[in-house]
Amino acid sequence: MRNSIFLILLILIIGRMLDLIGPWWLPLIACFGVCAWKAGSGWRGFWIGGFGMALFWLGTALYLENRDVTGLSGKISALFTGNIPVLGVLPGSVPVYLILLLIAFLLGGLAGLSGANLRKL
Amino acid sequence: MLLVSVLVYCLDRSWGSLPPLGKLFSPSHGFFAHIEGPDAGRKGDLILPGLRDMVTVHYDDNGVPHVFAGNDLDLYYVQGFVTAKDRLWQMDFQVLAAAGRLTEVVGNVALEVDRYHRRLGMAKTAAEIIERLEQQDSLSFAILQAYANGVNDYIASLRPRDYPLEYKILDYKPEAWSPYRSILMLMNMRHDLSTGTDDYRMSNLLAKLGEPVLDNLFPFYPKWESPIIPEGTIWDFDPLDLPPVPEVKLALDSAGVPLASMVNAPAPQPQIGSNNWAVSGGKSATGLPILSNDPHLTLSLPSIWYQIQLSAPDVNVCGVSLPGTPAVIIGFNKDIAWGVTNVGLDVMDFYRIQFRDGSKQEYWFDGQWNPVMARQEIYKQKDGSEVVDTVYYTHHGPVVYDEPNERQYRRDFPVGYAMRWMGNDNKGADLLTFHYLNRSKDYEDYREALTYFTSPAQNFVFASNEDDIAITSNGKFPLKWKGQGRYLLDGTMPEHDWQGWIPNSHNPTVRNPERGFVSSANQFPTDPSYPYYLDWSFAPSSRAIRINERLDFMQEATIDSLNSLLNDNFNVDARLVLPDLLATLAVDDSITAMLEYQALAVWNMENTPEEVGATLFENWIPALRQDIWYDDMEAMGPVKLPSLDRTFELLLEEADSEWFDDSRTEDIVETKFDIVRRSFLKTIDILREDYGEMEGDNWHWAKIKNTTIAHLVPNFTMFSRSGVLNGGGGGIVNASSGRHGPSWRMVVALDAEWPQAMGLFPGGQSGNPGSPYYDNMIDNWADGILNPLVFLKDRDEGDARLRSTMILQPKKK
Repeated sequence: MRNSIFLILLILIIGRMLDLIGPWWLPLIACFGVCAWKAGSGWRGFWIGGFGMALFWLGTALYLENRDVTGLSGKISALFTGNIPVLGVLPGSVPVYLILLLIAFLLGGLAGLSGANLRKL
Repeated sequence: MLLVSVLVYCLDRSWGSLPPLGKLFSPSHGFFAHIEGPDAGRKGDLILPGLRDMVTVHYDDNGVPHVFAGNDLDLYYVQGFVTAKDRLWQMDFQVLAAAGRLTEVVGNVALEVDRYHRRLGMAKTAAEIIERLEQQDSLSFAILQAYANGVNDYIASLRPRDYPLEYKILDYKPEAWSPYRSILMLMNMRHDLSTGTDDYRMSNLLAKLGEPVLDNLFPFYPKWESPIIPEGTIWDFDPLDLPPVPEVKLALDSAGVPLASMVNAPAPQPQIGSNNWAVSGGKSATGLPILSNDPHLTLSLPSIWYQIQLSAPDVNVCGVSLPGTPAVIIGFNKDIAWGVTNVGLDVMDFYRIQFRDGSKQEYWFDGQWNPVMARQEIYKQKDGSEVVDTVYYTHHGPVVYDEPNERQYRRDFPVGYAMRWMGNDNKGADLLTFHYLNRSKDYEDYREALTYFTSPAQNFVFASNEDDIAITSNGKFPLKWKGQGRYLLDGTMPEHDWQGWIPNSHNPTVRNPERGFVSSANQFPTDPSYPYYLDWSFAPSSRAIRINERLDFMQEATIDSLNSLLNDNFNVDARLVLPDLLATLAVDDSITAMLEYQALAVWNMENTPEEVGATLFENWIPALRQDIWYDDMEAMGPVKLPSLDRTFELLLEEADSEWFDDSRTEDIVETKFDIVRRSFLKTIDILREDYGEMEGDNWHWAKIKNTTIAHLVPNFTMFSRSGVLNGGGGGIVNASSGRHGPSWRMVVALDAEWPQAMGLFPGGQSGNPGSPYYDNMIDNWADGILNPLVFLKDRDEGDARLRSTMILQPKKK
């Protein structure tokens, strides 16, 4: 458990550095590399990569949202709930955060999974 | 690993209308990165390659840049830079619209509007203008190039994550700016303000009703008018001879009948208009003039205007600019202030073209076959495919629609006609008018600056601290025979061509009139004594009448009293016809018993937000007008209904007219009472159906009017503001209707030392929906409050409202 937390922290730190320099998908390299290094099993890689990436995006988003006065994330929600009525029942920014977490978790998880699997080859 | 790559790829691009999710949701690359504080990007030191000397930009607490440069070219360079910083996406998008290239970014849905813009010739004309400026007008071109360099150096400083939010949602990239693109922005204005046309509808009516009836229903001058140039003003020039009126004044078909119609066209919205005025020192509290301007346009976000102060050794000017265009368009400096409203004269005529054969290579004109120029227009789709379209040009101009049954964005344009449009004039240097107005010191400078202007014709109001006030209906005006272009014209006849130009010095103008004020509200520039023909119809006179009567009474005017006029909600039309209409209905007890009738009877004739009477009147009058005329005209395809002015004249002075009879009912002869009653009841039915019973705030005018300021991309409703609660209306001085209204309000009190100015627009300085300056002025705008404008004397003058400073340095040599 402690080991997993350490790996997730590592993803956050390396991910942040990569995020500053490259395109939006560059932090996935952190998920990939960290899990290749120490995740052990493929499933563990998936969970660590997924949680790492989701936490990273969530943390950054909340940090940026903190200074908001315009309700921007709620407006972006409206952009999507317009197309997907089911999401319309959710309040304000919630749909945006759900999509954000889903994408981050899926991408991070798959990156972690492939990293861990690479190690096994 | 393959799966990750595939997923990243998928989330990196857009799918149909679904934006690129990965890019958009990554917090530091997507929309979260656009959440801004008030000073974001508005402070610090920057090195810019295009500068010659250091430039200082102070930003005030409204996000307005105050630019202090050492020379004019640096000034325009930095104007481009700071404008792009706030409005890059808007500038880029509006250029794509003008150039007919929207399909490239929003896809096939834009093909019709793109074809329309291209077939009008907007991009072609902009290219011709820029070619001529580059060769013959070094000043204009240098200004445009400096501005473009500033925009481009800003674009070069951006990483993809810094692109404005709309690029990320629509998944494309900004393009490099150029002088050509600034001209395209001006073409947008020409388009928005000078493409109104009645020719097609009028010809259809003529075919059915004949000329005497038309001249009666569509007179050449309205019954109630208060022209821009006061009646009785002496024309101090020797007019040119008007071209003779030809025997055949319009295009006729082989049977001698004007033409047959095919589709039903919506009438153009008459709500694009504006107000401006200036009172002389004799009428003001300070003893020096006060000037006001509010251009009415289709309200949009990001805002149409961009506030800026531009200062260099020979200029210090403040006001609003159009994003994408150098200089201040409406504003003031230490000595003068100026503003514009649209003239709206007839500068678009249609000529029926007789092609030799289906190949459209030649057309008949002046007794011989003449060559047609075919121009290919290629539209790139979002998926990379192309649509090719051919436009045929005659000496008149482009044949905008040449195939019957083709899809038409403008259904009020006739098929098979070439268009002569002032908007396609490639002479002149409109930009220099503003460059010189920015630097004007007195009346003579103002008059000189106006000579450069061609289109779209504007009423330039002027005031100076030498106690001069003036107004000029200015632009390049075609010299026409009386009524030329009232109907569709014949493209084979030389006498139907425009015969020359009204000399600029003969344009309607007045300086310091006796009444002590000048004003315009898009009404007739002059009374019929003006020796030239401009048009037979201008905007309804209601705003002008109200403005002029209030200014007439005004004494000791202040900025506040002029602002109260900007927000005047009095309904002049109601004053004219409502008493008669109520009296007409009063003979029917079942009507006078209705709550709706009683609400109208006690209405104070103010279009204030909570008035129910305004809702009833504003919905009833169009219904009444329709009910009077439509039965006699609907079978004729696209027709124009007689004006409000003529409708009111019929109601008040021709109560027994046969026009009241509904020609669709064979056995009954309807009277004025029948039509007034019928339209009143129908209006109430529709209101009840749409908004419920008249109770609570259901029928409050502001709610029904629902003023909306929409984002430029129609689907982006989340970035729009609707339900803005304000008063006004289309024919009201406070001209806020549903989608149109005052796009900038400005009042400037001239002063011997330093002017005082107030102003605001319904939006904000930033185009970024995540910025506190995106729409921060809307609430004050709706409430009729003006912001004091910061106008600094020099770079080092402190002001409590300055928030941050940006120092821009040239690259060290």
